[in-house]
Amino acid sequence: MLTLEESLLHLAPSGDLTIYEVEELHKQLIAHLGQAQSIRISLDQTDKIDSAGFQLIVSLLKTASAQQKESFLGALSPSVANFLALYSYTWETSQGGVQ
Amino acid sequence: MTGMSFSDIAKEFREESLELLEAMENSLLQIRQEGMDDEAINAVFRAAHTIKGSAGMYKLDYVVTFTHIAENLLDQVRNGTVPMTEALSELLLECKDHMQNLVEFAVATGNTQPPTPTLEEATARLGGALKANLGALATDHAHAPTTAPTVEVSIVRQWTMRLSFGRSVMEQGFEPASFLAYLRKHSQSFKAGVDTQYVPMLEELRPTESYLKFTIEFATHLNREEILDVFEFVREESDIALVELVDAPVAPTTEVAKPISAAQANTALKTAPAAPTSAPAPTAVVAQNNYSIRVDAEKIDQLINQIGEMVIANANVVQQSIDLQNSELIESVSIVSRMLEDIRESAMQIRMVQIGETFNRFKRIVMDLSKKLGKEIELVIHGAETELDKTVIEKITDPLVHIVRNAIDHGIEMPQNRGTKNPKGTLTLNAYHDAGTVVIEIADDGKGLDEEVLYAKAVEKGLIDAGAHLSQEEIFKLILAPGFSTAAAVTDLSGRGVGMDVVKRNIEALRGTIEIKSTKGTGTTLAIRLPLTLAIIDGFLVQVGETFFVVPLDMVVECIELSDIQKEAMHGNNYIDLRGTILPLLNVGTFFGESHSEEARANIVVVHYAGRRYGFIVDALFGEFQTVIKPLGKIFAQLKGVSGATILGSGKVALILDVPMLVSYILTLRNGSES
Repeated sequence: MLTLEESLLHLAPSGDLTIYEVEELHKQLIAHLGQAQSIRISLDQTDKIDSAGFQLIVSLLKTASAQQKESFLGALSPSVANFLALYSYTWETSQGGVQ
Repeated sequence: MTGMSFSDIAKEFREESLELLEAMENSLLQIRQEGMDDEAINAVFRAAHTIKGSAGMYKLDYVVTFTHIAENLLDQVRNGTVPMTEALSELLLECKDHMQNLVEFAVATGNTQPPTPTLEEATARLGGALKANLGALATDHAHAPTTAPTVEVSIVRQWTMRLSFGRSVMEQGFEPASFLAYLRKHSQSFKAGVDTQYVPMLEELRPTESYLKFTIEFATHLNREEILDVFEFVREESDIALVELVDAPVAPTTEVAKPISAAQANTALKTAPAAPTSAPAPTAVVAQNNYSIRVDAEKIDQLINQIGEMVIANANVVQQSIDLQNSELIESVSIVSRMLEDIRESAMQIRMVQIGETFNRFKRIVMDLSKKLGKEIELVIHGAETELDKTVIEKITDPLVHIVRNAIDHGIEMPQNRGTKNPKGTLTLNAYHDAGTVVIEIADDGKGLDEEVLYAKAVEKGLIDAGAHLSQEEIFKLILAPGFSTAAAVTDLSGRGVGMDVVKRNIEALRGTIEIKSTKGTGTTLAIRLPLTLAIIDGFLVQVGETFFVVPLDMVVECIELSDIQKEAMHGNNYIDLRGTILPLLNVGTFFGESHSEEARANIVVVHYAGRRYGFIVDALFGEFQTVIKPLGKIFAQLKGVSGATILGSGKVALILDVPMLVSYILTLRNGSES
């Protein structure tokens, strides 16, 4: 789900990214973010996202931006795309977003 | 007493319910007359919905059960699934009556007894009928009734919602996205914007708490309550602001099927506050702003009483300031007096109610009765905005119902008997202010009163002697005489009937009078004249002998001095020539047996009553005077010519002249002198 390779933190949740997962993931993100220079988020394998998962990613991107880290966002699974459509939300990353 | 607190609630519940049921009935009648109307059907639904809600709160299960069925059907009618037909509106009117019976029963028994078998039976019957409408039409549109024109309507309105969930909603197991998804599912157009600015940095983030805020623009046929109901379980800790866009398109579903763009919605929101009058549905918005509070009538009565006492106390101050001849004090006192008058005016205004609500009730009566009798009758209402003291309105309603029933029953003919007149009869209710009184007219274009038949009947009943000379008006007034009308006698007559003497008594108890005008073949008009209010009047203070009298100021036209020349010209008659017209006079001193000196200058107070002028001869004039009517005790019940008393600033008692009574006395005098 979360890997740190050199200075790239890669978040690629497979399965669910919901309220049941966020606490654990939150802890890991805090633990690893310090060592990362850039962040990559891939949500193409995410089966389900909810507001808690959404918030966590928003928070992660905010923090990255505040710490002047690069962020990339990869493709979205249909489920995540649907969720974002409901909120009419577009990710804003330092490298531009994916719809 | 277990019922103490419940009865308090019950009273309020009853008042609220009856008000809602009345609104329900009015709206249903409006739909019958003018066709389907969004506002009207919404009002009907709201009434049922609210009654169900309050009944549920007070655990009136049988009210809830029945109202729930009605509400279901109404919801379907409202969103156009079930068409409104004449038969359905009739059924709904019947259901409204039944709801009222249930509410009254619940209140009367304090909800301690199960409903009576009669009520149970009605619930079953009407509930079944409601369900039949619901089932048949919901599933089978081919059987759409063909009897009456139907309009299918679904009201789509545009809303903007600002939504901020409580911090802990997600922890409680609610998912914000689900609420939005549900709302989107029930909307024709939907656009949500999420505000993420409150989502903190990772270090501060509590990942299971909610930080999201939303702005949602959507168009839906759900009403406000239904929208808010979506958020029912999270509403307490959430912050929800829901605003209806004023110039939202109100149109059948077919037209609204195309989504409304956010840009349109935005313009709508921006223009809304600037030009609310151009909106197609401005009434709804106005209605929201026009709120009212419910106050116990006793409190208002108490306030008016206290102001009344203050008026009396102030009169005392005025008197003393004049006696002291301190001009500064007099000026200050006059300012206070004027303000007091304004306060009194405002307090009285609280009690004033438009008569329109009462008139509206007659729509149903006219509809039901004319249907029952097979007559076609149109009800025309004028002057619905005329204001009248609430107490007076309450007391006048029953007599009015009586008169209207009589007019429909005995006044207006069957369509085939109306000759050259429009087969559809017209009943007109009219109200207007006239010289300190309110006049309520009930006019029909029926067969009118037949003087000869009335006269013969009165002789037969022994009310008058055969050969007695009666004016037309006196003959008409016979219908008000007790014992004149019994059901059997009256249906044969062209007049009205049962219990008109009771009507007359009720109206007289309100210090009112009845006039009857009728032309055989073209119709009858009853005019009821009532005082505007019962508590305080502006009076005109006069003195006769040792006694002070107050004439209601509204009726006073002018005061003149009775010159010696005029006295001479009277030749002992009781009228003078006032600028070319005859002014009938009453010597108040003689009437009340006051001793007064012949030397005293005589003055005439000219009053205007029921379209004519009369003069009262008095000794001294004191002018305008605000006064509180204090009823006279039972001992004085037989005292004619005085309708009450008041206390002057000096502590002396002044009697209030009963002008209507005195005027009728003048008329008998005049008739006497003529014959």
